[in-house]
Amino acid sequence: MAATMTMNTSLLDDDVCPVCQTDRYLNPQMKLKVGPCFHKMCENCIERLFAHGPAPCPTCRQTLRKATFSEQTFEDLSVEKEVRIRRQMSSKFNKRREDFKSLKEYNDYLEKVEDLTFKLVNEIDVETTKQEIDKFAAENRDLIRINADRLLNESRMATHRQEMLRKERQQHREAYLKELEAEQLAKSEDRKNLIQELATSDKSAKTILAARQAISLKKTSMRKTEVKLTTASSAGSTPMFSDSYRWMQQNDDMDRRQQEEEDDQANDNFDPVQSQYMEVDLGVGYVNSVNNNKAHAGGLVYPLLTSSIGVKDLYVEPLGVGNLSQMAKAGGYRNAFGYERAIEDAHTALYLPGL
Amino acid sequence: MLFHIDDLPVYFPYDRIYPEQYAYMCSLKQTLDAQGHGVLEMPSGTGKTVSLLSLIISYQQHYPEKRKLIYCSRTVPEIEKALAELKRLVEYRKSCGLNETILGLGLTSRRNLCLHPSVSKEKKGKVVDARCHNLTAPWVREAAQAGQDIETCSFYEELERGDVREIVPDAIYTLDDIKELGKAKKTCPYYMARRLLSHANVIIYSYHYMLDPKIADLISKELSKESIVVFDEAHNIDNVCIDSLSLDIMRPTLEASSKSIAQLSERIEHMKQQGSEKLKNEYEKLVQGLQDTLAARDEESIMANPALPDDLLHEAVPGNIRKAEHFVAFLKRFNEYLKTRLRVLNVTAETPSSFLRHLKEITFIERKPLQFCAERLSLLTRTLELNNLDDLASLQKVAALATLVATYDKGFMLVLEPYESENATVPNPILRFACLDAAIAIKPIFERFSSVIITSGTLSPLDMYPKILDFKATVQESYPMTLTRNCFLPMVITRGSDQVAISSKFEVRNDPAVVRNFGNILIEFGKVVPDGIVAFFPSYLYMESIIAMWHEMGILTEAWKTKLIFVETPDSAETSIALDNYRRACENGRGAILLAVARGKVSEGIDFDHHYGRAVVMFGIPYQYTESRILKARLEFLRDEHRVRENDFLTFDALRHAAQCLGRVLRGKTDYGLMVFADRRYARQDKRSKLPKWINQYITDTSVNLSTDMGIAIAKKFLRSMAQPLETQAQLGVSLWTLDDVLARQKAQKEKLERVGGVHQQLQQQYGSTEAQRLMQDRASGKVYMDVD
Repeated sequence: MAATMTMNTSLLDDDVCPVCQTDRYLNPQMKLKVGPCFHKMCENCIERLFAHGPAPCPTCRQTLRKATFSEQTFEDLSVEKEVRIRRQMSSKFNKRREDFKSLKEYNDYLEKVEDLTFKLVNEIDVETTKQEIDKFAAENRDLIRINADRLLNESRMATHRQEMLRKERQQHREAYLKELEAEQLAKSEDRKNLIQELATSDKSAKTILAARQAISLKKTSMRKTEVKLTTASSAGSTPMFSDSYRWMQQNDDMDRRQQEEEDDQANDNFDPVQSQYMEVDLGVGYVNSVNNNKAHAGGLVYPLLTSSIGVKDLYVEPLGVGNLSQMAKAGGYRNAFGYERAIEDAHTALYLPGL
Repeated sequence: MLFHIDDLPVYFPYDRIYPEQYAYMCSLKQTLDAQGHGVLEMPSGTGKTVSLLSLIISYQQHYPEKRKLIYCSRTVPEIEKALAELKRLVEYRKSCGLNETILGLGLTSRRNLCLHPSVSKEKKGKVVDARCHNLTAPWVREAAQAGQDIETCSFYEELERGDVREIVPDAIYTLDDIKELGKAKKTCPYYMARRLLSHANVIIYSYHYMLDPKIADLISKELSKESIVVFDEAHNIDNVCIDSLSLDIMRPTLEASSKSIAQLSERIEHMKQQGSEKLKNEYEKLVQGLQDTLAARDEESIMANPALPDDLLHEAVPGNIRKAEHFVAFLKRFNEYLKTRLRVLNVTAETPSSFLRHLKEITFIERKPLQFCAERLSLLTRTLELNNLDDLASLQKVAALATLVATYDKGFMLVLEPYESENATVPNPILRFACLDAAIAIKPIFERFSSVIITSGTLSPLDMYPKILDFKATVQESYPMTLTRNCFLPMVITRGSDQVAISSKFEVRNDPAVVRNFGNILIEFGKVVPDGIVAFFPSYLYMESIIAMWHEMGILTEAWKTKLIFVETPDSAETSIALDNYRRACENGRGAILLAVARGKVSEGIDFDHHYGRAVVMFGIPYQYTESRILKARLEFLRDEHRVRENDFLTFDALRHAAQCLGRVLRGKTDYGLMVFADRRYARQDKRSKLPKWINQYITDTSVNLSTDMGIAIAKKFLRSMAQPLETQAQLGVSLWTLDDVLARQKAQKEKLERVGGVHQQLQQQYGSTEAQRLMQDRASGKVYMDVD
């Protein structure tokens, strides 16, 4: 997020476009971009050279297109290149610690990946390295895909978590401010009352003040115990965030395609609590998650297909049982209607593109 | 004198003792007996250090465990003072006929201890460290032994030849003593002291050797769990903790570390071409695991690392930074990433976890290898046999940031500030990695050592420290001051002679009326107070603007008529010259005014005893700059985690600094001085209640709401009475006890205890046990006044 907001003027002041020799003095709006061959060029030059489609790079003669140019993130072009290579590598080499039996094997794997990357970056045995990479990718195709899904899920989860934390912080802050305000108000009210009392009552000022003091002392001690109580209770009970968080962990894996479908339905505010999940991993917590879903999906629970690994056979009463069915009937529907709808829903899934 | 507390014989090196010293020792013993932590506040200038040392040494020598004493203080002069005190104490114990061997010593930096003819000439501590390393690194010495022509340090070589314990007999060594000993034996005093640490009974050194995880790991690792740790002058301990884990990264830092990275990779290439086995060996070791390599770590590794959690040490270094060239590329990527961050021109604040996520998105750096960064770097530098480590300082900083940001999730914050000040237009970006939680750095100490004592002259309100440092104190005590004559007079001036309220509140602080009234206080007190006056301001900025205004108003010319004026500046050399001249002016009777800043150098650790300070004026309340983003983040953290309210913390912080400034005036009971609080807000109960008990006890109702002229009248009266000769005899029994007084006191206490016990028994006979208990409670809480007998 931050890197996209970077500003090039201050630190890349002395930049000169290697093609047209324009510098920032002549063209303050000059923007340098980098092509796939890692040669810099200003935007004007790119416009000029690649206006009629692909053309060779003026420096290295490699054929380039306009669309392949992008803004420079790093000052050091070698790092820029390395990062691009790493991006490609990471899409293939995404095994995790869990995929290995021992830590040592995992570390060996990490080192191998690093070796391959290093070779690509420094252009040593590029051909054999590429072959090796392709071989690896072909061998582990399934695992790569699953891990990619997992990664995606995790990153969404992290975003969500961050958002929740932010919200929680804000709530804390607001609560605190409110508390302060209330206190201030009570204080001024107290003062007003005191003056009122002093003005109107015929008791001596001393006794009134003494009585006030006793009351205010009591109040402060009460507030203190209150604070203690709230600390204790907040330590004991789980706040809203951690509750949903536990549930999310159970649903940690979700199929990417499922999400894409949802995106089609213009579901742009992602919220894992509301959306439905498909299981990638046949881990624990499936039944649990379904039960949880029930609360959100209004009683209609769909037996979910799992990904290519296998099918989880689970039948759930479409209208739920007990009071739920009563709830469904309350709208004036017959029981049969619920079943009909469930069947209909099941059939709609058939017209979706195959998994 | 020798007296007993319970069954413990305490040797006290003076004939007389202050009552608060005795009470202090009693609480201290309680804390040690309970093996718990303590927070003790004792007025400044009442012999805190000597009471601490004499009780703990007596305790140590009396009981068979011989618990080691680790005494941490703030500055080198304070360490030397404590060492001198310790020496006197041990001599006194010897003269009492005790036959014991006590080894006590102080440790300070190489810069202060080095004997090497050319290295010791260096002025900067870092340079001395690096040059020392160049002469004493294992590979340098190996090469020299193999006959190559390489310079080594003869003092260190001498130390290596013999056993330290044989060179150094048991005694107390001040910093000078150990240097002398080193000279006599031609041995390196610094390493001598460091190797003796594990044998010594008493260690006196700076906070940082204990608190800074980077150094503590090196120096204080082997100290036993039973040790008694004392932090003296600990009122600022939370800031020390926070500073030790915070880092600032700026553009030049990154440039320098880029250079260092290039050097590293060059060096690796060079080594590879030579076909050296060393890189390969290192790699082999890393494949086996980090722990074995750590075992090889010894005192020579002066590359400091921030704390790695223990469970990580048992793990292997991640595979992708095992090879040297991979690691260097890794560092380069991280460094470049930081550079891109510094190019951002808006203020950002983020948590470590969001920083890590973004880092991963951009550069594909995972958390795990990042965590090992600092450790791996120090290994690499050793393998590469690099000299001139001070060149690597920036890179070390970057690596430390990497490790910290990946290790700690909570209690930290990254703040990027593109401009130095609010209205600057030239960007000078700075990335601050700020620790918000003081408890993180000090936690290992509370967990590891059974007794940790935190003590100072100003620790009020006492319950704040356990809260912000997150520990449980078994003993929490603040001692009042017993005085035969009221030798200091605190007063709160709330308005000037013209009845305009004075305050350093932001809205009115530059109001000419307020500034003039502040000035009038200075002029008037300059007329009535003899010798030195010290005046403190909340900040440099405010002081500058006020002095400028005073100059225009002619207040300075007026004040010059009675006293010379000196001003503290942020530059420490300038300030020490000003201080010297201030002292000269006070000594020759001319008298002087020193204008200083709370939280500045003058307010910490410089005493204005006797004629150096007869009055201290605190203009305004020294609140922190509340717009600072890091402070805001810290306040929020304290509120959420420790339930400390923002205002409570700010007031607490301001008043501890105010008390610290005003406490400078009084260094002992024969001293006297005025303490002037010049701000309307000090009159409020919530402010005053946060002052230390010993100051608060002398603030009377008549002196809390004064105008300048009233204050002057009271001050005149006070100074006249103080100018009368003081006889020691008058103090005896009240504020100064002889041995007889101590014994009488103990006897009285015992009797009282017995009487209470007796009453309890009597009640038990009458009413049965539960009822008796209730009655006793009533009596204790003062509900029942009648006496049974």
